[in-house]
Order: sequence, then C-alpha cells, then structure tokens
Amino acid sequence: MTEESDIPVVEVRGGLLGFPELTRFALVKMNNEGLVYRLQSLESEAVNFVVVPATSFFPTYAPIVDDEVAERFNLASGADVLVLLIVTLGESFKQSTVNLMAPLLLDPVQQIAEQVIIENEDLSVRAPLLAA
Amino acid sequence: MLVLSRKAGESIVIGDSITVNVLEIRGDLIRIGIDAPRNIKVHRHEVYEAIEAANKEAATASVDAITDFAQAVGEIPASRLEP
Repeated sequence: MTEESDIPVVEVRGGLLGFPELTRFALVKMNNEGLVYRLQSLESEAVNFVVVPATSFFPTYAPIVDDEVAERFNLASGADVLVLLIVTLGESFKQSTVNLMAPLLLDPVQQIAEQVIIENEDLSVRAPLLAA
Repeated sequence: MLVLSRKAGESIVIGDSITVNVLEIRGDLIRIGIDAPRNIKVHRHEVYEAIEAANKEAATASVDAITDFAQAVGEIPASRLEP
C-alpha cells in the first residue's frame, strides 16, 4: 500500500487546455527511475495524464517560454523547474507520442505546474516518444 | 457577434484591460498586437485547438495501460536515455 501522503499533490494553474476546471492533481511515480509519472486529477477520477521528463527523452529540447511564464516560475533566480511532456499512449509502445508544443512546467518545491504553449511552429503536439 | 471595421493603426478595447491593435494590413495578412493582463492567455486559435485535442486524447489512459507503458519505458536500453 502506498501512503497517500507520499504522493505529491500539484496545483496546475489554469488547468490543462480543455480541462480548465481541473487544477489539483496527484503526481504518482510509475517507474523506479522516475521516467514515467501519472498525473491523476483529484477532482475527476476519469481524468489522468501520463507525463515523462523531457530531458530524459529529448536531451536537446530547450523550450523558450515567454517572460511572464519565466517570471511566474522565478526562472531568472535559478528555480529548479522540471519540464514534463504529456504522453498520448499509442496502440503499441512505439506509437506513443508526446506533446512538445505544450509542455508542463513543474516547480516541485512550490508544487505548482502550468501547461505552457511554446510559440514554435516546428514543434509537434504528437511527436514520437522514441525516434525509430 | 459584434462586427467592427478598423484601419491599420486603430484599435479595439475589450473590457477594462484588453486592447487589440491592428498594426499592419498587407494583402490577406493582418498583424495584430494584443495588450492583455498576464492571466489572460492569448493564442492563435488553431494552436489552441490542436493542444486541446491532444490533451483530450491523452487524458483517459487506463491505469493498466499506463503501468504497461511504464514497464516498457523501464526496458529501454539506458544508452537511449539521458541519465
């Protein structure tokens, strides 16, 4: 049994696009190495997301966020913010995709997150998780 | 729907805090500048729709499917992942 208190609760500010009313999520570690997390809504049981840390899968991915986002996350003062990618599970593992255009920024200390839109037309909302 | 005609250099005010400026009109392309409070998210509509669709598609994975996915990720050779 996992103690409920071991699972961090994060506030997704503004919700995710399409789910503006859902802001409280549990971040459940699904993989020992911390490569896969489940983001479970605490307000709607049917809604959960799979997220993976961007750096593990896309080491060269360096999204540029706008100044206001940078300010909200105190990026200038060196805040430790994780970039998570939302996964769409495919029929098979290899068909799974990630959303590179709208990653989730997570501040694990403040336990706040936000889905940000990267204004770069080269980024896909359905990029293969693993290059063939 | 309210329909207004504007020329380049003119603007529209929405509520107390949002201003939409028509910056330039060139052929069929109109450049628009938007001043809005930072809690108002402004996006091109097609981008917003694409992300909303992707989120909705991603939102309902079963715990079993996620567990299988996590296991498959665990089997990826370490050489293919950054530490």
